[in-house]
Amino acid sequence: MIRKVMFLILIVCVVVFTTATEITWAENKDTPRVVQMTVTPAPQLAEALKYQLLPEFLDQTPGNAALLYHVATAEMPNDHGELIKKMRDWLDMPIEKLPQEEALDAISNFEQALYQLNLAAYREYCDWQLPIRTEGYSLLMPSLSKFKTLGTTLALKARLQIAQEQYDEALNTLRNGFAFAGHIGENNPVLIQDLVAIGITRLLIREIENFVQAPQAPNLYWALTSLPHPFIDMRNSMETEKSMLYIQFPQLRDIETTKLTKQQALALWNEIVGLIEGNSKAYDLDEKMVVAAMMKLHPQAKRQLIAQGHSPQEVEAMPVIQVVLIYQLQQYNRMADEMFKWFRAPYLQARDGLEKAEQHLNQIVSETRENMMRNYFLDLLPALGKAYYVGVQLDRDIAILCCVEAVRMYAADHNGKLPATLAEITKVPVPLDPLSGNEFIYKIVDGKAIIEGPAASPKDALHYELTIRQ
Amino acid sequence: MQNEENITPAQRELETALGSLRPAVTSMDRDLLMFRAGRASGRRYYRTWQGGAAVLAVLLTVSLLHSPTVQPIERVQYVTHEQQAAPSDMMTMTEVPTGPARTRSPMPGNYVRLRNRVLIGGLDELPDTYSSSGPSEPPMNRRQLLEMMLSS
Amino acid sequence: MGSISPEQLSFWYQACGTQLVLYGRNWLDAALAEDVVQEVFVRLMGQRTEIRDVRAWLFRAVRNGAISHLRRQKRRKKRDQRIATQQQNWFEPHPDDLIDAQMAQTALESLPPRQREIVMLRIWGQMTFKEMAGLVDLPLSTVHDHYRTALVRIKSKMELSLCKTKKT
Repeated sequence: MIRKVMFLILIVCVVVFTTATEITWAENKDTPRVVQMTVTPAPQLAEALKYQLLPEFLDQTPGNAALLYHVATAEMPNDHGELIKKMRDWLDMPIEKLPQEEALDAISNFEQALYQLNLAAYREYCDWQLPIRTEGYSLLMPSLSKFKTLGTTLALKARLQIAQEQYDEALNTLRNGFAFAGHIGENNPVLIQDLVAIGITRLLIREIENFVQAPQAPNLYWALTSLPHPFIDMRNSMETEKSMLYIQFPQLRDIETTKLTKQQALALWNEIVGLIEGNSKAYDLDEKMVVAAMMKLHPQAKRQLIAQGHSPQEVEAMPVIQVVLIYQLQQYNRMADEMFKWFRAPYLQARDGLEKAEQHLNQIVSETRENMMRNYFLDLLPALGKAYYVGVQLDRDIAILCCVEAVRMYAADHNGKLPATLAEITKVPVPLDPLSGNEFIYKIVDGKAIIEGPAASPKDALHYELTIRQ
Repeated sequence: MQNEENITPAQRELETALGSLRPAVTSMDRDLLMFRAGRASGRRYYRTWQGGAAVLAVLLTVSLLHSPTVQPIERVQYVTHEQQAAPSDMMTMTEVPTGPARTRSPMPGNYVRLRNRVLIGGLDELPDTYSSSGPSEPPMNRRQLLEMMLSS
Repeated sequence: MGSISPEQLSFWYQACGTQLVLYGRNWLDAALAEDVVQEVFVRLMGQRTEIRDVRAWLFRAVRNGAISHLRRQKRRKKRDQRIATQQQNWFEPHPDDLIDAQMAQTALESLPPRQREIVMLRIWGQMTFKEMAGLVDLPLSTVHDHYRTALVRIKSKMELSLCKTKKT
């Protein structure tokens, strides 16, 4: 009898445990990241611009930073995969749990690289001189993952220095990091490099969160506000993205007026498919196969060209593949125009237009998939809405930290009392949420200041809880 | 179409107009077709294999029944490093023929896919040893890419 | 295993599926034409030897399959032909069609089967005259004649239909 009861209890425990685990997992899956901060009030500094997150003009040295960043990557240890995994894990845990000795040991492997990076960070400009106009999509960028590693190392170094109360050193490290990220995005024609810059900056922002929680942490409101807006400007890389297809395939610029042979048209087709599928060796499709696939679209494509003014004889003389390529390229150009134009407007004004353009793109892709020949060109259009959003998310991270610093500033001026609303903060402007154009949501709950930035996706929402240290 | 059939311009127009019509969409289920085709192909392969195995079994039985008694000889062969290092013929058989000479680096396609992955998934999607000189995983097709883009 | 991979099969299916069914409807109703086309694709997958011209193979196989089906139903042959030409729409109407789909179907239905077959192969099968001559087993000049005659008939049929429409 006792055995039966115990067995039953065991079953119940197992069920409860697994259910609780599932619930916890489900709760964490799509919820905002909650940042709980215990902060000391900190007034605006007498010298407001004393602390900066980018090198000051007077401290900069002449020359191109890119050369020294490449030296830094060359100084990195070989085969550091396992080390990087550990470093990332340390960045995911609370700062008080950081194994400081091990972290110091890991960082020491990058000492030479970080020294070169420090020199680079203080250079007055950075020009990567990427040969994008000749290489197009073939451009090699082997340094990107090394940059990611260096960014991770810097973030960890800053964290270690904060944990060891070396605040000046931590600020220096953070300054190197922000300069590095800014340089990665500077004069950069390639979107993926901008995305790497944004990713590194977001790692550093997490360490700013740790920094401002230090008991004697100075107020970084003006340091954060002084960062460029947007911090990573993607307009340059977006211009390149818009033109990349024609950089990669210059013959497409004249495809409507050039008579290709069947072999030339097929070779071009195979190259394009190889580019999209990412396996240029494997695509040597048979002409008949390609033409057969295009049979459905060919009549419509011919009609369009004739309607646009090409003579029927001219169109009939073109290989089937060329006719269809022209048709699809025109479709791509229209969609590219519809999407890229929004990147020239401020995000808040562009957001709805971009969403509609992307819906239109999805609709066309869906139609071509079901009824016609797949338009490979459309695969090249990046998710522009997402790209813009990612950039704005970074600016939002910076803006909400500015809010935090503004609250610390108010608390310092009001004997540790939190403002009831953000409107009560009058000493410095409180930034708006770049995502909505409105104020961040602010409320006092159980003596804590809650600052929130809602988002369409819960995992993108921001939620900061500030407790004033007594 | 070239005018090998000597039709008039008006008839050419009619031809173009007829060509604008799209055959009605069928009720054929593509996935079911692929399943049937694959199954039929497998059955043929299986039957062929079964048949072949049956023949071999018969031959083996016959040979065992009729073969003279043979003393097994133990032979030990020592393999040298030189012998071990020789590449097998299998490698040559599976080699993909190289394409025409290129003036650019050979694997441009990775940029597009990697860019989109980092765009959706963030910095973590950038492999620690990224190089655009070769794919580190099978290429994504459009459906996978679109699904990934739509799921963000 | 055949010489056609699943990816290639899918490719050909997407490229030619509807045209093949339309072609099959020259002899059969929609459902039977689809069955024949399905069987043809299944057979394609199982082909051991390499096929040089897959498209031509497909059309020939559908032709042979459709005619075989018809021969098996000798007693209802004439009725099937009527049904084949009368059942369901052959084309999917679209706003940018340059010609009325229903009128075109009626005009095609009025053609003798051989002429109709040649028009379908030429316009929707995108075959050359040489390929068609090989498929239907007729001299090249005869194929040309059939095609020209068919276009003349379609044109006059459609003009007639337009006149009737205007009068009503």
